[in-house]
Amino acid sequence: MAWATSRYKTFVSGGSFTPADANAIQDQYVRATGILHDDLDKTSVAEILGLTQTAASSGGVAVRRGKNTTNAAETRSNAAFGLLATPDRVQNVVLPTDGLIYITFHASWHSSAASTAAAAIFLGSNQVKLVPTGGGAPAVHQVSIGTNGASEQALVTTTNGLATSNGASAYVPDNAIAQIQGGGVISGCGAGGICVIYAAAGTYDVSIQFLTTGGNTVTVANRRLRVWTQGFG
Amino acid sequence: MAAWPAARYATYGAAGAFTVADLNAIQDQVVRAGPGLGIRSDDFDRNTIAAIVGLSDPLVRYGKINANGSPQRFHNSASYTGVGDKVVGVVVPTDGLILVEYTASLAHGYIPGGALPHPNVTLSVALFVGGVQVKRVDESQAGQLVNHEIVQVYTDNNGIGWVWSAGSGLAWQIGDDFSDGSSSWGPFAASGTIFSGSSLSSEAAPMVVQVPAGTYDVEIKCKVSDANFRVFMDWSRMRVKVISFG
Repeated sequence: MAWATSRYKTFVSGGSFTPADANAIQDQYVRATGILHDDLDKTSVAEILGLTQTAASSGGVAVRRGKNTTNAAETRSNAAFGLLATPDRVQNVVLPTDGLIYITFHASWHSSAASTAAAAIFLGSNQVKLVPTGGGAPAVHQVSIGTNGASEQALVTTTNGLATSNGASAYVPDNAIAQIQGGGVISGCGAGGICVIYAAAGTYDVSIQFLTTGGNTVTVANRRLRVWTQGFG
Repeated sequence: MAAWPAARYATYGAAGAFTVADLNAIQDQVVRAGPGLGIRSDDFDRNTIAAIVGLSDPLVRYGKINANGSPQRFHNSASYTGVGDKVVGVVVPTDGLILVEYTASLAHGYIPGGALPHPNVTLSVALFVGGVQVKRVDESQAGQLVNHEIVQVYTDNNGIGWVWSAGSGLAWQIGDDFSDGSSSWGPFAASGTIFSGSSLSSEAAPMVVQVPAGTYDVEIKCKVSDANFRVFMDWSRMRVKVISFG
C-alpha cells in the first residue's frame, strides 16, 4: 500500500465508523509505507552519498572514503612488497562501475643504506601500473629511495604515482602545520598530490607497501593515507 | 512518544470495542513529535539536506571567490599583510583535507607619482590557511618542508601574469606587458574556460592541504618588493572544499 495521499474515507455525521475503517486507517500509516525522521540521519545519508567510510560490516553502506594516520616509525626488511605492522591501508573500498579511486599519501622514510628501499601502491594484491615513458603497455609502478635515502626523505603521491625527495639534507616532517599534501619540488615529480587510479568495479583494499634489498631496513613514519572514490553514474 | 508504528495499534473485529482512547492512541502514532517519528516535506528542503551532508553552511565545507575589478583590490606591501582572495570559516574535521583550486591574473603597475623607471620589481604570491603560510616539500631546501610562495621578477614598470593552482602549489606565468593598469591578457575565467588549465602548463590541479582539525580562512595573498608599485588581483576564481574521512 502506498502512503496515503487523501483520506481513506470521509466520515459524516450519522455515518458509520466500522472496525474495518479503523484497520484501514491504521494501515495507511504503518512503517511499511512511510519513512522515519531517522531515515534522514546524517550518517546514513552521507554513506549513501559516498561521503563517509563506514564499512558494511559495521552497519554502514559502503566504504567510499577512508584514511590511515600513523605517526609512529615502523620498519620492514623484506625483498617482497608488503605492509608495515600498522598497515597504510584502507580496506573494503567499494568502487562502482566506471568509478575512479583517488589517493593522497604523505610520509617520511629512509633506508639503512641508500638506494635500497622501494614503495608502491597496491589494489588488493595487485601493484598499480603506470604507462611507461616512451609508451607501451602499463608496467608496475614503484618508487625507489635515492642516493640520499639513508637520511629522512619525503614520500608522496603525485599525479604519476609515488615520488620521493632525494635532498642532501634530511626531511623534517611537521604534522601540526598547514602543508600541501603530495607533490612538491621533487625531481621527476608529476604535478599535484592526488593520484587517480582506474580500476574495474569491485571492492578493494588500497595500500602502500614497501620492500628493501640486500637485507636492509626501511623505516617509514608520519604516514597520512587518504582514499576516496568518485562514481560517474 | 512511541516510535513510528510498524504495525497497527490494534486490530478491531466486529465484536471489539473502539474507544476514545483508541482513537487518541492511533493519532499519537502518526503525529510529528520529534526524531524517530515521521518526517515532513520540509525535512527535504535542499539546503537542509546539503547542510546535513556537509556540502554547505552552517559548516563551511565548500566556498568560493568570484572577484573582478583590479583597481579596487591592490597591495603595495613588502609583506603578506594585505587581504587577498579569501574564503572564511572553512571547517576541517580531524584528518580532513582542504582542496583549493585557483586562477587569477596578477598585474603590477607603478603608483602614480612613484619613481620611474624602476625595473626588477619582485612580486610574490602564497597560500595561507588560518593566517599561516602553507608549506610544501622542497628537496633542495634544508628540512625540505618550507614556506611555499611563487616569486616573479618583472623587468619593466608594468606587467601582467597569471597565477593558478598546480597540484604541488601555486604556479605563475608571466604574460604580456600592459600600460593602463587593466588586464590585456585574459580574462582567465570566461564561461567555457578550462579552470586553471592552459597550454602554458600541464600542471593545473587542485592543491591538497593538510591541517589539524579547526576552522580556517583560506586565502591567496600577494606582496611586492617596491612600495612604488602595487599588485592588482583580477579575474580571481577560487574554489575551496573540504573532504572528510570519517
